[in-house]
Amino acid sequence: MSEMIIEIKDLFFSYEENDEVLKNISLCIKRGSYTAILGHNGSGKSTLAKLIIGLLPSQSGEIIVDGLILNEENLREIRSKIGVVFQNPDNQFIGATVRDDIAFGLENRCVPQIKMDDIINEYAKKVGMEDYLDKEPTLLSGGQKQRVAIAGVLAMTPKIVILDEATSMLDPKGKKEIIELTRKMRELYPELTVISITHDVEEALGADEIIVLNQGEIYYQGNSNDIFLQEEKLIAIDLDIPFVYKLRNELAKHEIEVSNCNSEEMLVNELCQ
Amino acid sequence: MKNLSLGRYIPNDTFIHRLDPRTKILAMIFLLVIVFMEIGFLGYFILGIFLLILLKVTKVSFRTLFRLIKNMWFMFLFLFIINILSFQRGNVLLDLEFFKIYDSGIYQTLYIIIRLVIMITITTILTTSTKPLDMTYGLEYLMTPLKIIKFPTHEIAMIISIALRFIPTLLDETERIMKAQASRGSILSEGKLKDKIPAIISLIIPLFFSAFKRSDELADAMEARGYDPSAKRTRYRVLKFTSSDWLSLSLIVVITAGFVYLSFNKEMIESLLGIDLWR
Repeated sequence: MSEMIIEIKDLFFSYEENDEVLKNISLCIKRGSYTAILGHNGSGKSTLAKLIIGLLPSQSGEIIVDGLILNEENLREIRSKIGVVFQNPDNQFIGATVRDDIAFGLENRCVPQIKMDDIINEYAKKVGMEDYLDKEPTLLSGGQKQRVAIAGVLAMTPKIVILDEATSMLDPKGKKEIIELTRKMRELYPELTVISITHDVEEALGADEIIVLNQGEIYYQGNSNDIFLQEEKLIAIDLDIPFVYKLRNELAKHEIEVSNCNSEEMLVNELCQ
Repeated sequence: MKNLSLGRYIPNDTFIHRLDPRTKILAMIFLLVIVFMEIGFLGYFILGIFLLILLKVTKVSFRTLFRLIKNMWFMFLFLFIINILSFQRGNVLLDLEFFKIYDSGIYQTLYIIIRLVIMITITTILTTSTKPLDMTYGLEYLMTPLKIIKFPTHEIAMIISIALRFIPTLLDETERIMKAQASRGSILSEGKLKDKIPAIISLIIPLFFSAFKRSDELADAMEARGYDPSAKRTRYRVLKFTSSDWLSLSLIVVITAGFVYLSFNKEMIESLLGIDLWR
């Protein structure tokens, strides 16, 4: 078993001829890591997610997921290893109620009917939706729908979870809930690889690895601490850096050294000492 | 717009609500067959009493039913006029120099109205007591034999269930687009029909556009979760036939048999009861 769960080599993709959305993408994602793929609208980040689960065919290049090369024959098996939470909470809610929606993935996986209720209850509890099991999607908030989507994905016991702009259509409260849940999910499943595709730098905070995409190319790839300390580099492609790093950079200008802290809380604690 | 309840399902926990949707669909088919048999006024009277009992059990208020039937008064009037004009035999009831009204015309109208009312009652009992989704599952199961002729029963059931799931979402969307267009001066509720057409277009085009986008994303989400219409799947919602289903079905079969007997032995029953059942 290789250390890398996703390996992408020389990937090219275009929707229309001569208009490449992804150019020469090569990257590796470590097993059990939390990776953030940052980029602007049109940087190709969502396209990349669709390519990884085989919703789009790549023009050239190779995608290896958990040791399997993505092709027609492996498609089903690869999809069973990956769960995706999409952007629009409404457009991925398939069942008539929360219960039915979590069951949808299980039905596809041919889980015996008698076992389904237990699985549904277990995962609804994990995302804090156990009191809403018989509710219809119209009665739920965006954040709640995304929580159901996460439960539906986790219930299928994937090795990789891709959050494709999962918070971008939510209100601040819903957004906070989902970020919190992502953190909890990583604690509960340490072996789970989480890939968060986002344009919100705050969400990328705490990621083990950050991949920045710009106009279909990898602009930067590396440790989150390293990149956020290079403010100019991100600002050059109109991305911001998280508030904590902004403050740290400002402090550094005034020759106030702070150690490696990547949350507001840590920074406050350190400064107060 | 939210209170537009499709299928008019009324949540409740009655004997009829608890029945398997397949039982209810089959029972409906049997009852509709009875409606089209020649069972005479006595037959309709018996059927009517049976349906009244069902209505009582299902806890459907007569007002709901009456509202549905009330909307059809124009059709009833139309039928009445057509029948009076076209049936020119039997006993003359009213002689108006230039044309005569015969009793057969009146009877014919009455038959048609009774049939329509009974049909509406039967379908109302079914739709108020069965969730649209359960009905879809029931229909899918009952259509299984059609798979032999490659009829895509599962796909159709999936399409219907997704359509049902998205009705409220699309209604919300319609409302939102209407408000957005109203804020740009395109108001649907005012003006003549001629002025309304551009407003309707400005509603329908964005609505279609977003519906297609939604279906695209939905298809992606379904595929990502491993959906494959041709592959084998298990089912979470399993329909269960209980003893009350068998009982109800047997009852319906017995009733149907009774009505078949009645329609084939009209004369015998007439002479037995000494009344003229059929005109």
